[in-house]
Amino acid sequence: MTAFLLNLVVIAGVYAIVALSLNLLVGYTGVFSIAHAALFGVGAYSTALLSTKFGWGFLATLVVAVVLGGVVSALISAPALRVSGDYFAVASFGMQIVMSDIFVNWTSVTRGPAGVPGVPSFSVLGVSSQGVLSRIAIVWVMVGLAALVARRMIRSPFGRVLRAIREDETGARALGKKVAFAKTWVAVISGGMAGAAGSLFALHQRYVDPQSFDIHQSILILAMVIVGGAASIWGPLAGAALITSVPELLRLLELPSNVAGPAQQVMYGLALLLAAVFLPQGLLGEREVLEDPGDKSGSKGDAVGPSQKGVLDARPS
Amino acid sequence: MDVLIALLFNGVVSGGIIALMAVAFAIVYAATGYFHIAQAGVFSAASYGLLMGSRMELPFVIAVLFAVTVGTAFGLLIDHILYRPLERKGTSRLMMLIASLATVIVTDNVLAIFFTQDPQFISVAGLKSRLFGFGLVNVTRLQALGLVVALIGVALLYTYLARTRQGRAIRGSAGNPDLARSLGLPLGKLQTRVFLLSSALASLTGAYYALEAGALPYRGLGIFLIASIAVIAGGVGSITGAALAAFVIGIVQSLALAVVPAQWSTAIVFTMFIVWIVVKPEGLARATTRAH
Repeated sequence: MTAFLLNLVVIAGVYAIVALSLNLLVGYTGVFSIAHAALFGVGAYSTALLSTKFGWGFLATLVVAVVLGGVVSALISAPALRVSGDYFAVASFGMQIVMSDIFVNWTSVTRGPAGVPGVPSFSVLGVSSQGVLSRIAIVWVMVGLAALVARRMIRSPFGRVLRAIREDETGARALGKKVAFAKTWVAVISGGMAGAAGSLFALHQRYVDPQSFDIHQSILILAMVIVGGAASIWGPLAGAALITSVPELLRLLELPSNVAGPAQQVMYGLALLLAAVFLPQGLLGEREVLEDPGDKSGSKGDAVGPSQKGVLDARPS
Repeated sequence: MDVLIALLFNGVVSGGIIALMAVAFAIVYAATGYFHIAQAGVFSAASYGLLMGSRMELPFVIAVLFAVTVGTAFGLLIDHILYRPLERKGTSRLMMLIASLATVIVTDNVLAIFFTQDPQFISVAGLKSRLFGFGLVNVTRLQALGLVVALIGVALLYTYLARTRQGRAIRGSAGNPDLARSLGLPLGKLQTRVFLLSSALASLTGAYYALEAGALPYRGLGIFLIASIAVIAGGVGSITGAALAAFVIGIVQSLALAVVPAQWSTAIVFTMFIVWIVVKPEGLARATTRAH
């Protein structure tokens, strides 16, 4: 039982990093992304493959995971330079499905649905990852680092540009802020953090499979951010802790195995729905954030949104 | 050659079905600005509505009507008990999108609990039999019916928006809600009409897939993704653009089967989309009021 709880502490830490990284996009920049499990998976798969096939060590795999996570994230956001708004939602949605397809179907590399087993244990600065306590230490040190990076970034001038984009993208652009650049850059940082979390995940589980990185996982990560409270540092941490314990609570109900999976998803979905409707600032989020200040006519700074939406070109010619 | 013709035909049929889903999304997105992902839930509700209808041994046409009724009722419910209260509260678009996504997740997984995660096949006598064929091309009754219904659906929606007083009012309110409000247009009623039409079309898509490959939870999200790609690639606000883009996607997806394995077809569509958006961000059909 203790081993099981300690395990949960590691997992909660890993997800806390992913949730922190998604929060940079959803909470601070106001950009919807549903591809975070894919970025997380890129980190996990790269670490699993490099360590099992080539015997790479912890730091080397971590660096690769961060870089790959950032690159894939940049790929999603690159076209957002041209179109903004809901485009990002569609692109991230598509990227999630494509990456899942790659994890499942590129069997010569990823071994398909079977996954990659036998990820070796590692040691950092003389601390071996053999024991769960040392893994807790390593992972939570990384959580601390991620939180510091996020905090530094948010309080910097760059962070203020991100908030300006969230509140009024057109306005930010009019003030001469490099909106496209800022969006791409925050996507890269966010992707890098998610990649790092994936690397830790692979090293902890010693095994990766496609199911850990599918769209349902992306929704899970989104739920952590929204339930915990977007646009705060503590929110995603609380959300990650809360949401990772849901399956354990459900286990007490002893549902049959074919119902347990969907029942879990219903819980996440309901948590997300209730948070979005009744608690849009989340448990620990900024109060004023994510509420539309008076402008009922439509979304903010949205090139494909209602400002230019009024078309419906169906007209007799 | 025969293979290519067969693939082309299949592509046209699936393009038509995607077009139905795409125009259903396009009208909501243009008229309200909601990124209505929960349309995937409407799709699922109609799929399982048809399954229930056939299990109750309703005649085929009645079962389809039942499915469309179930799906449409669900779509109207989402608009009335979710979107409108959120809009009144001044919730951000981002949060509305998240709430909409959460609705799909809950819907699909509740369906999975009741009907399992495996496809539940619906057999209708003669529907999948060959209607006509030449060479390798075999056209089933279901495919022919699907394509005809899709074309009629898109054409009716287009005509409704272009020719009727209500349709013109919807277009007007989409273009300038403030002006429409001050002119006294009943915006609430128009929105109900938009969701009614959209949900009915999405329900037909759900019913088609249920007949073709069985009712399945989670399928709606994938179809919705393709449809939303068609809407953005076609130019937001353009019914014809969305429908055309849907046909292009369906045909490319199908022809690609001649070159690459089926499991990569979504990746191909998505890559095309990225390239297309970079090249031509305003979409296939230039939005006519873009000049404003």
